[in-house]
Amino acid sequence: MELKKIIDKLGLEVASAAGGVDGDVKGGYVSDLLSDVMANAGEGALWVTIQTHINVVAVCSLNDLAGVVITSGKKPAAETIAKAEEEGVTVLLSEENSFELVGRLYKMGLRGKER
Amino acid sequence: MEVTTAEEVHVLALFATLADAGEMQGKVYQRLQEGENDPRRFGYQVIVDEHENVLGMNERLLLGATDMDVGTTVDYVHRYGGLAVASHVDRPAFSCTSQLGFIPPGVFDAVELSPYGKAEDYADCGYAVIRASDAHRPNDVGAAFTVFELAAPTFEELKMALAAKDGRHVAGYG
Repeated sequence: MELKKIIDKLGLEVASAAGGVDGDVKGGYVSDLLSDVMANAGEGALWVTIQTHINVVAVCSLNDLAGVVITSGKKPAAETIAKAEEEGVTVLLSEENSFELVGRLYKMGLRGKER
Repeated sequence: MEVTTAEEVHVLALFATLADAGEMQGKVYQRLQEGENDPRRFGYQVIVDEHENVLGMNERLLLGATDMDVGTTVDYVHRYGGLAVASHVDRPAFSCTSQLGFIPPGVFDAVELSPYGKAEDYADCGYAVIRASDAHRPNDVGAAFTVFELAAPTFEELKMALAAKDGRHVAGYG
């Protein structure tokens, strides 16, 4: 599924488009433990989390994720966005909580993508 | 050393000797997520001696977490003769507060505040409170510190101060 389509349909705010928004999203993964995402999120997955720490960017980069959606209206620190721009990671923001957002992604046809 | 538990809580582990710390390091490496560091993404993990000579690189990815929960981690620290301190409990990431929502009682030897934390806010937490720099760069070392009343600057004395034994205690912060 095209990332652009998800951004438009769910009204996501683009905090960093460094990883591109035209790419293909191969599935989804939701977790707030970085180590769990590192171990389990598959390549090309869109990651949904309330984490805003700078290491979120490192994990996206490490697992070659399609991007990350930070939910519940949480705002990442400036250093997180700066790192995302540097690493080429797309960071999206949503006012909705993870449950609502994942429900909508699932309804759009996106499915869990694990390693 | 600072250990990341399975809940992604950071726990400071302080040891009297390098040998004791080495025992803990062995345990951590055994239980740490697999992976190799990519310096382009995560920066260099340099091994430096006391004269600031770079001796080599640590190839293991140190960003991840161990699969030991907080209780197990603290048990190992104690088994190897160390002191276990809950790291930067005032911070919104990788702390007891952020990961568990509370500071579990009767587990640690002390709690640590970052330079942002105020000791008076944690006066009732049930633990000795120390303040430290949580430095990630050499320049940040000493950004905050704790003053102890001790008979000598030794590990045993520090242990007594954290337990407020025999007149040893935390005397102030800077």
